[in-house]
Amino acid sequence: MTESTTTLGTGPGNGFAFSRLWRRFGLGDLSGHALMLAAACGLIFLYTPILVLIVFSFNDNPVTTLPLRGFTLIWYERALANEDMLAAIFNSFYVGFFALVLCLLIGVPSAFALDRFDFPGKALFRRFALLPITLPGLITGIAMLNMFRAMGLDLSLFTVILGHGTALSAVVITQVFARLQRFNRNIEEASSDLGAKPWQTFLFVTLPNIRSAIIGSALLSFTLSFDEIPVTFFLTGRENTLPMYIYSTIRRGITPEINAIGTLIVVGSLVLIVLSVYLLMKEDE
Amino acid sequence: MKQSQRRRLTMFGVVSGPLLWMTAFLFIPYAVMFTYSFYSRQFPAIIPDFQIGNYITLVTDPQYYQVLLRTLKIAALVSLAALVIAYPLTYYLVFRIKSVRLRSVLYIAVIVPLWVSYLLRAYTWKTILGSEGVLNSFLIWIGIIDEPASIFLYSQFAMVIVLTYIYIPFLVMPVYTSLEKIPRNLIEASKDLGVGHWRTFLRITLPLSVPGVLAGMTFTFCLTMGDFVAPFLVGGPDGLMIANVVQVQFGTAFNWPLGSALSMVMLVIVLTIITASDRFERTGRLDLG
Amino acid sequence: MGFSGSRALSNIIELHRLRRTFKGNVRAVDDVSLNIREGEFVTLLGPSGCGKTTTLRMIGGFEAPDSGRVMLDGQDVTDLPPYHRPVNLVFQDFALFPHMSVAQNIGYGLRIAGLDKSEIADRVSASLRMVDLSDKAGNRPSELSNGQKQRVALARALIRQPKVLLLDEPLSALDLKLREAMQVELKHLHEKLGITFVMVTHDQTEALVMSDRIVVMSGGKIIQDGTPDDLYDRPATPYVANFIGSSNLLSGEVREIQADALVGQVGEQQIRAAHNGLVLEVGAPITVCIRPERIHLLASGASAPEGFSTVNGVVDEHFFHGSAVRMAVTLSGGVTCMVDLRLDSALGQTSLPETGSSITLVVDPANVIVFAAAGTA
Repeated sequence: MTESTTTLGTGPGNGFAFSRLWRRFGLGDLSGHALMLAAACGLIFLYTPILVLIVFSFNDNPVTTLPLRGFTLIWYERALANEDMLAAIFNSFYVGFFALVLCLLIGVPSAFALDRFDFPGKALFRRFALLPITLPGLITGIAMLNMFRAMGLDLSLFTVILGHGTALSAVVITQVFARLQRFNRNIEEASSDLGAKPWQTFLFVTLPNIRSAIIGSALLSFTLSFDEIPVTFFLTGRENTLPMYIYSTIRRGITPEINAIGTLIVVGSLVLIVLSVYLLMKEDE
Repeated sequence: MKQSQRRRLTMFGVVSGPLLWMTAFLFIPYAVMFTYSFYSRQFPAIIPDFQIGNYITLVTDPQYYQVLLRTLKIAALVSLAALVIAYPLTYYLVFRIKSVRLRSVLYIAVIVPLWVSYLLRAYTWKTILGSEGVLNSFLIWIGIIDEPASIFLYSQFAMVIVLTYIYIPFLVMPVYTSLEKIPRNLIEASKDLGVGHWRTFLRITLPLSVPGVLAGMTFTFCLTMGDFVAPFLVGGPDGLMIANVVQVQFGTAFNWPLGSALSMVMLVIVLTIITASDRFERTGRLDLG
Repeated sequence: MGFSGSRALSNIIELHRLRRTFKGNVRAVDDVSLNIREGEFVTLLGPSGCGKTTTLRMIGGFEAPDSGRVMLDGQDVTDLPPYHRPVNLVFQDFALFPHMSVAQNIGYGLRIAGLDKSEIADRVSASLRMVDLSDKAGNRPSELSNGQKQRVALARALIRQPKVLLLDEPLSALDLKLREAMQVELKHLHEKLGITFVMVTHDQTEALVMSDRIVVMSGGKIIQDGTPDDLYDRPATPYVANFIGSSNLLSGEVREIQADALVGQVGEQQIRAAHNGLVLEVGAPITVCIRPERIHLLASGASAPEGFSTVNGVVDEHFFHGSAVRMAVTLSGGVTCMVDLRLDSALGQTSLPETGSSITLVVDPANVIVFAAAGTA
């Protein structure tokens, strides 16, 4: 590190002199250590609540408080025996799966449309397609609720699926679009040159090369759907998804079973997400 | 069939589905909401109308505009607090971790919580900050206080903490992208010319990271504005945010027109901020070259 | 132009008045008509933006002309997509399928055609042997060098036995030595296979080495179409003269019209040019075109051959080109020209004139070409 008698402009020289002082007293790279400390604190702050959740799910105490008592699996047993909760979990998988399909059906063609074609209303389309992830979900949820009401449609898991599919398709669109932008279209021309009809080119050449973007964003949509609250809140009928169930349970008070089921969800999501991020970050072969 | 005709047919096939869907499920809903905001409500019925009474209520009734202001305040606080924690962390990741592998792993480690149940992560703070919670019992255990303090939970303070916690990864992402894009040789050149760490940071790194910072803060601000979960969990009576008010309008209060009007106001505020931030980002980028 | 006795071979490609305009009114291809005979090696030559690549792509079916027709082997294919045309293209960046192995890349066309697996495997093996890549059959394109990728691209295109092989700047991604080797290899390949090759390049050396015929293009139009000799010795415009090889282009005016020659005034010098059919009046502005290697140094004391022009000048600079030295010479009257000297020159010159020295240059009128100066190439 150079000591600087800088002639590059003026400015507060105090901090500068101070760090020179530190170094002279052999106190090392202050900025480096401070930075590392700040970073470590940040990471700890991020993971502490998750750790609390996991730790207390095994704690033999109905109240989440220190000091820890014994290890127990009773909360897990109770959680997994809770029929309402199990029904909610099933509903979440059900919704998540169909929402995923819907997201892909809407998102992949949208990404292609934005990447390859010029059509009337394209700019408006792009705006609207991305709105659901920039706006608070609440607004999208309310808007769709209004419309379903106006249509006379009853709220149910079906409306939830429609809501998730619409709101989360933006995830698929952004990821697939980004991948398409990096895509070398020459190989599609080469395929066509070698005798492949357009559907063959799409199937044998285009899709395999955007595969990881599609799968990654699909996994992500599923995960987001599983945990979705704002849109779901306004579109749920009689049957609950898991977040809705937990939401109503919390309203009634904290139960340690939530810690247990929470841990399971957290661990499950972590695995799914790491997988999808890994897929999204890797360049297609 | 000519090539241009073929292309037009393909385009029609690809574009029509999404276009129809977006119109039906996004454009029309927003339009309907807009229309609803002008209806009037004579309990228990909702009457189609065209009147701006709802909007007037929002501006004149303190019940509503106070909540709006409070929401904006909290959103601003959260954005700032999240930035203060996220920035050094990100900076450290980008510039101090030399191994690309380790950096990717740590980056994923920071981003991943973002997608792990928002509800659950916010909920754990309830258990941490409560009067019988982890924090209080910890403080009692090590003897700092004698009995549980109730200030931690059910306050605006608690909401800010929870929301900041939730949105830190949201800020890390764009700031990370911004910082990564800075050509390293710029910084090296600066050091070469004898400029110290701190000044290099102020003069070069920080300004070039502004687009990412701006994007992240905008995102955080807008999403915080629309949040109703955190107030519900840890907000307490005086922590009500605008989203909760909207919730109530569509729930027990059954005042859909007012709720729609509120949503429209939120929509406009959010869109304004996003557009302004976009434009600022672009001009900022021109100056910074 | 053309070969005698070639009228027996039919035109495999006929381009009739092709036009293609891009957004912003850019006339990429402006009324191009061209016939290519079966078995020819034709090169479209020109700088970037001249329309050569667009023309090639129109033959392949990747671009549709705004107007005009494309005929392939007597059939109008203008509206046919690439997968219905009996031509194959070798792309400039090779466009190999990154998710397939070399063998799968090569066999792709056959797979699409529905051949059965064992036949595909046999033909792919033969193809790999032909391009000497049998040991790379299982590798991915990302693991290959540029030279290897190009061979895969060639094999992939040829395995379908097309009537015409199109090549889009095939050698531009290769380094010099490899490029020179590939020029020869491609020429041998053409002779061996006997099919028509249409190549696009901006490198005139490649064009000269490999082609039976060169089509020089600029601004979307064909400027000249002929054999390499034709283009080199009888360029139709100053543009072609300086694009193929290099030429000095000196401005002047007609001084005198003789029986078998024309005398032009360049600066204070007079240069004699053999007639090439141009009808000009005395005083008309002209561009005199002479190749640097066709100007020779007159040894002091020697006299110029009969009819040859002599020109006086002063040496400005030397540029070392390995096998030759290029001198920039200022002729009296202010005009600069380049002269290429081989140091083992047959005129007995053994030493290089120093900069600043006065020299006399001599040139054969047969090597001087005159163009009317009105308008550009």
